[in-house]
Amino acid sequence: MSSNISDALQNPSKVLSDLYQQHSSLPLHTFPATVTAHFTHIFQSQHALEQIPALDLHHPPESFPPRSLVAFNCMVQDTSLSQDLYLGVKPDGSCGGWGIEDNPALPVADDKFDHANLREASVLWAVSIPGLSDWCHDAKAGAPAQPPVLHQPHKYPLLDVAHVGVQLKIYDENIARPLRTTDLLSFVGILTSEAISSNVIELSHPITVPTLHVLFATPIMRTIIPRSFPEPSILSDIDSLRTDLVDWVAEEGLAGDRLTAEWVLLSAISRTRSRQPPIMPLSLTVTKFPSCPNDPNAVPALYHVLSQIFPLVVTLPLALDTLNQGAFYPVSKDEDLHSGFLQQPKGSLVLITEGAVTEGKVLEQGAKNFLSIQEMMKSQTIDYVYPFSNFSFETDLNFLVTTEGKKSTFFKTDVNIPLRPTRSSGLVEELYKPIQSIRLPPQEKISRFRQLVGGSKIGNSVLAESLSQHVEDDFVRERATVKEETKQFSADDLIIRMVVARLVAHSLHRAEVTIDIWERAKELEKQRETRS
Amino acid sequence: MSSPPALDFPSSQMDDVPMADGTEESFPNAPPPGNPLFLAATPSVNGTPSQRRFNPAESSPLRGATARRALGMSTPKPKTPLFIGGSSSPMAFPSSTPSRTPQRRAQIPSDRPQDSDPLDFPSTPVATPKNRRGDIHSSLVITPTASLRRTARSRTTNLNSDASNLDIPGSSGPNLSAPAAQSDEPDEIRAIWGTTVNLAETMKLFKDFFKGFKPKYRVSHDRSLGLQTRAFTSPEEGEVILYEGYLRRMRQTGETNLNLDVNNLLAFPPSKKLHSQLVKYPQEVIPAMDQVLKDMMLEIADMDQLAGMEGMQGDEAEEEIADIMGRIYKVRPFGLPSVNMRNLNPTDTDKLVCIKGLVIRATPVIPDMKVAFFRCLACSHTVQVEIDRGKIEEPHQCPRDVCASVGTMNLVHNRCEFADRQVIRLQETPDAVPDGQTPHTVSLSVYDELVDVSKPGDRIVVTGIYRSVPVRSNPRQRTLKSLFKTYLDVVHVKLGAGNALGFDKSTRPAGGDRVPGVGGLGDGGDEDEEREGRQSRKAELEQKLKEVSQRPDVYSYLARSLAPSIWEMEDVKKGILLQLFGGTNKSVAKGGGGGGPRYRGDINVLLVGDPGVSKSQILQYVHKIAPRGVYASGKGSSAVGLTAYVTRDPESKQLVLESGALVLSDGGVCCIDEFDKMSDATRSVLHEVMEQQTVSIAKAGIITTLNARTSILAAANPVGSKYDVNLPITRNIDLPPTLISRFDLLYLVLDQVDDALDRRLAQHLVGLYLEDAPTAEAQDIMPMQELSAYIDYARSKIHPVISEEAGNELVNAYVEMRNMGDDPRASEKRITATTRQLESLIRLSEAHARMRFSDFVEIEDVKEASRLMREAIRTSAMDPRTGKIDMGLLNTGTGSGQRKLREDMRKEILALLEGKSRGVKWAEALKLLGEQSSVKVDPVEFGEVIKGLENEGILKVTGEREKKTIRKIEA
Repeated sequence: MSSNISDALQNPSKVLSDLYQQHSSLPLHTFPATVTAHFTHIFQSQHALEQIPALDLHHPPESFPPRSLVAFNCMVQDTSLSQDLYLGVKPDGSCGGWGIEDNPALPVADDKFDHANLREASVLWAVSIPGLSDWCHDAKAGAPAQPPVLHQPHKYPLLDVAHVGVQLKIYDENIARPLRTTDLLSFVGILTSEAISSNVIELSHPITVPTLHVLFATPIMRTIIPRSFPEPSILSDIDSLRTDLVDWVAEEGLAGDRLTAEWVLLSAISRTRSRQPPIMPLSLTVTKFPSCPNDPNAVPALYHVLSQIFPLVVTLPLALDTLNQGAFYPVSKDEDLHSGFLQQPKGSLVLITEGAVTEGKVLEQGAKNFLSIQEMMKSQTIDYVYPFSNFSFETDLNFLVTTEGKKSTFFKTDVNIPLRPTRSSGLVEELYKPIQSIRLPPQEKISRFRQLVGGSKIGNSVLAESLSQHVEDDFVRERATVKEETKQFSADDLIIRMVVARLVAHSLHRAEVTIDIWERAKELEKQRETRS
Repeated sequence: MSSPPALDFPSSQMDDVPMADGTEESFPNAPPPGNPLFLAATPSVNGTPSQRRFNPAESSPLRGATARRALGMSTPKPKTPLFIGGSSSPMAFPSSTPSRTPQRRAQIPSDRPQDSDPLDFPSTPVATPKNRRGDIHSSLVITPTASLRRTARSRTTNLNSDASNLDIPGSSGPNLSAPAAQSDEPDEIRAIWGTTVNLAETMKLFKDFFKGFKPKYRVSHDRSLGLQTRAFTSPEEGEVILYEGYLRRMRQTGETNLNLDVNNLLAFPPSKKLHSQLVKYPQEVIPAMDQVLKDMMLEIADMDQLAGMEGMQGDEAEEEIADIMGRIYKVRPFGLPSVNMRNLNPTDTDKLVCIKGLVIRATPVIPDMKVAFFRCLACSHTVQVEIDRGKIEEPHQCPRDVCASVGTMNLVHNRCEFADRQVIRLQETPDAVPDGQTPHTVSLSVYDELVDVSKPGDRIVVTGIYRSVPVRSNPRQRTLKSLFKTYLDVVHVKLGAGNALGFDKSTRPAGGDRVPGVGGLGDGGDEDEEREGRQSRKAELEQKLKEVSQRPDVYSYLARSLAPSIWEMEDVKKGILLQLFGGTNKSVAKGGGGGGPRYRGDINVLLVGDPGVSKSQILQYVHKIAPRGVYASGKGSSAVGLTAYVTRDPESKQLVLESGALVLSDGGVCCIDEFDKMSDATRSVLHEVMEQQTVSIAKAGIITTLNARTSILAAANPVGSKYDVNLPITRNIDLPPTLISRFDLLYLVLDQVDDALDRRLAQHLVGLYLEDAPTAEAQDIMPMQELSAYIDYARSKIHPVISEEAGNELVNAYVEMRNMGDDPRASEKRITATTRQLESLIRLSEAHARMRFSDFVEIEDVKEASRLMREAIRTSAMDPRTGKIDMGLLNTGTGSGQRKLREDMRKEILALLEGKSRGVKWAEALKLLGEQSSVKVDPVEFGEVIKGLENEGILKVTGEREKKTIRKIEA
């Protein structure tokens, strides 16, 4: 077995050719599935998988010799590229496809090939996972040696961020068919450099891009690192662990505001539970969050804190300029799908800061942009804009907005909470401190934090028997009592409270929503309401 | 053997015909070359079937035969009027060959086709049209046949022509019963290479089809498939020879393209197998069809000439026939079931396929070289080379034996022949894309007449030949790798029509940009659309919608399908549902000369209610399903072309977003959230929109009025965010009464505290949101798309008319509504309903009838409409002081109770001011009044009364704020 692994690692093309010869009697169309099965089998153990060199910023495509076997953890960005046609059998009877070069001695004459041997390969564009926190991949030290060569940078959601973009060619239809944009996968294949498969009618000078001829693929879950719910190793002291986590987030990211920290965490672990009826992630606005007067685009420390515990975090400093320029949603221009900021993998946490927003005009592009964000908050769908038609895609992002005012200028979120820092001096410096100034808990502690939130994010819980009656009573009572106040307790409030209760249960790794959790959620709400 | 003459050209004969015969024959009759200097040396392409050269199969007898057949293009020449008018005796020439196929169908078995020696071919006219279809790349070129007979026939004996005339129609009769009669004819020599398809037989079948197909075949075919068919108005209609009519029309209009519905091939029993041949070998079969078409054109022209048809007499006819000879005719097949473009795969290569999509890009017209013209630099010998499979082979040496210099052949651009070509990118339409996938695109190559037929944005259905061809790999690349590309050579384009997303016909010049061709398309309009194979899906949907409309509970079924996630509010949903269907627009045609006043059919609905009662959700939902829905709110708008401003609120010092212009859509539903927060300027536009259905725009010195037939669905919050049940609605909503009265239905959606109701609501929500696997309640609701389709269908197809009983019922309902305010004890009469309400009643009744797919408004429609109205009036026009309904509240802003109150106050104020010449301070007057009155004096009411008195000229108010003083004006 181990020789198999080393053969495959050293000369995957030869393994492929040999495999073809062994199976040449079988029908041609079954061969891609055979390849997938064969290579999946060779690398079935975690240990074997880890031996495949990773393609990432530290190991850019240029650093590999041609036709190396590499693994690429990535996000599928574009599935609308034209399919590739290849000759499944070369004229000399050898294996075709997977970028195997033609024998120069036997060029394929223009019409001397058998159409029956033509096969199709799916072509996709994939990019490094945007917003992936450092701790999720082998933190092998530092920045890449040299700035990477950016291939097709318009196909990456984040502007001017170093990343790897690769053209994928997938020969096995069973791998390609279920793929959707923003899916996260680890593709293993043979890396070459090829002309870009372009939808453009006639490309006089094709660009060469790194191309991965996929042998097999494994999906990456949205927590990136496998998590479990409930996580047995932290269950024993979950309450104190949760308190520590809230304290740490409050201390480092929110100037000591524990209540806000708790709400931030609850919002961040929520996810889309159902689309009909709509149970969407809880979007949250932290109001009265001071902006940084010196540098309006400063990234709040909260971002650094959250990216220490959550795997996928991105920040969007909103300003009229950024809003009015460029689309936040993917747009197909000249039949090339340009990415937009909102093309993020499911499970990402988006931190939007409104600190840099000034008075001014929001142009059409800007209006479309903030409307697309609002639409995502509300229904977790995003429209990709194609010529003459829009295509709606499901997403699942958590939104966290910080704003100076009493409510967000642009967005309507499920919950608003004003920030109440416990200290007043040096507040701005505290909230915008650089990543180096953040005090990290011990390694062991922080990995337990990650286990806690990761597990919560995939949590499922059931309803305690007695609870539904309790909730109903509560609702009737509440409506009867708060009559005098301007705002009545409405059905929407009840819905949010139920969502919050479930999140509280998940954050405690409890598989049942009980009355005490319900009361705890109510208490959280009450505290929040007294602030506003 | 019923073999018609067309088939009757055994290969042996053709082979026997010496090459020289053909040319010689044309020799004396050919016109003197107009430009002998150039032309003389130029061999006609027609005589040079250069493409054979590349064919590996040339050596095979099968191939050789087709190759030889391919040469015959020059032969039509003899049939030009020149020839006919010439001296050569037609008699002589049928007799010269025993066969009915004269040798003029010359075959030139040249194996070096391109090296025509000028000496041998001095006068072959280049002008002879040659069918070089860019979409086909055919390996076959077929000689016209029938035309030759025609000449002979027409010139010689009537007997002869009669015979053949009899012959031909006769053949179609027996064929009906014995379709495959000719299949065993041992004529394989003209089979399509690599197949068993006999081309001669194919041509004969196609000819039979042309001569025998009648609409009745299609009808019975469609019936057998269970499709809806159109009834013939008369039995004769089913019996006409359809294609003869088309061909005649082609001759009369000079059209050269014939659109051929392949379903007709299937429907005509003898030609059934043509269908599969056409799909499998379009490359060979379509040129054969083209040829048959031309033959038929000539034959019919001939027939008409004999019959002395109008416009086909004497010289006219000769001219006409000459024209036909000079034209290239093309058959454009269509009507295959369309496949999803992502299901096209290499096995479809070179087959005829049909796909649907959206044109997203089209290149400018590309001149596509069809025939290259080369001249030898050494000896000036010229050679023409034809395109073959998209390529032109440059001769590497001069073909003249005497010269034979290598590398001297030079391309002369302006002598080459070009055709129009255009590359189009076709993208999948959203309905064809699998869920969650991105759309795919394919390239299309369109040629000649089809260039510029479709524009970006059009939905089209194309029929074409799927190609996969190798492309040259990038020479700069180190590694060699074969690359392929796929595209479609389009033979037929059909512009999408009918559905809402088809192109807007009004944007195209009238008749300027039609899909070329006669037959099928463009002739029957919608009917063709229905017939065209695609009907299955459309008909299915229609069928389904009709079934739904037959449900006894269709009304409540549709109402609960509207925003199913919203709890209860049934009447509101019903009202909105009827709004979506809308009444019929009417204009008074009589008296006004057609330009009489228009009555709107659009129903406007206003929801007023407490925050948090899902008003916005309803609006959002309606916006999604309504045709051309627009959603706007104080927060922003979904409309395109909108700008907004971020400004600092002067009071709270916060950054807030202010929305820009309101965009209305003609013929849609405009959903306006936070209606009360809309600026007065924007709202004032709505006055005009809601009653006149127009918008007036003044820009750059031009004032113009645009149509805005929009129904408005608006939602407003009460003043002070909570509805005060003790105040009349006009005091609760901060909207001018003139605007409120323009809404047909006004619903108060109040958040009322009610134990039992609350408990049920909580139960519902807990079940929905707290259960672990929330499942949408398994209730019977219609999916959103279907509901949308249902509404769309009803709006476009159903136009109910008010029946007499319904009319009477409307009158009764109106009278009843007006009487509602009648209270025998009250001294004054309240206004409960006005003619505006009557109009609303009519619209709602119509909408209800439309909802049931009924062509008539019946009593039940009126009853439901008046019930809805009453419900809405009851909640909105109730005067809280009296508990009585009073439309005056909505129409003038004051109810009768209020009016009485004001009258009393007015008296009191006047009494108060009596004798106080220096006037009374505002606040003091208010206080004094309050002391006198048993009920609390409302400062707003007080202000109104003062204003009224001031207007009457009785009072005068001076000073500002606290110093405001009321003084009576002494007469």
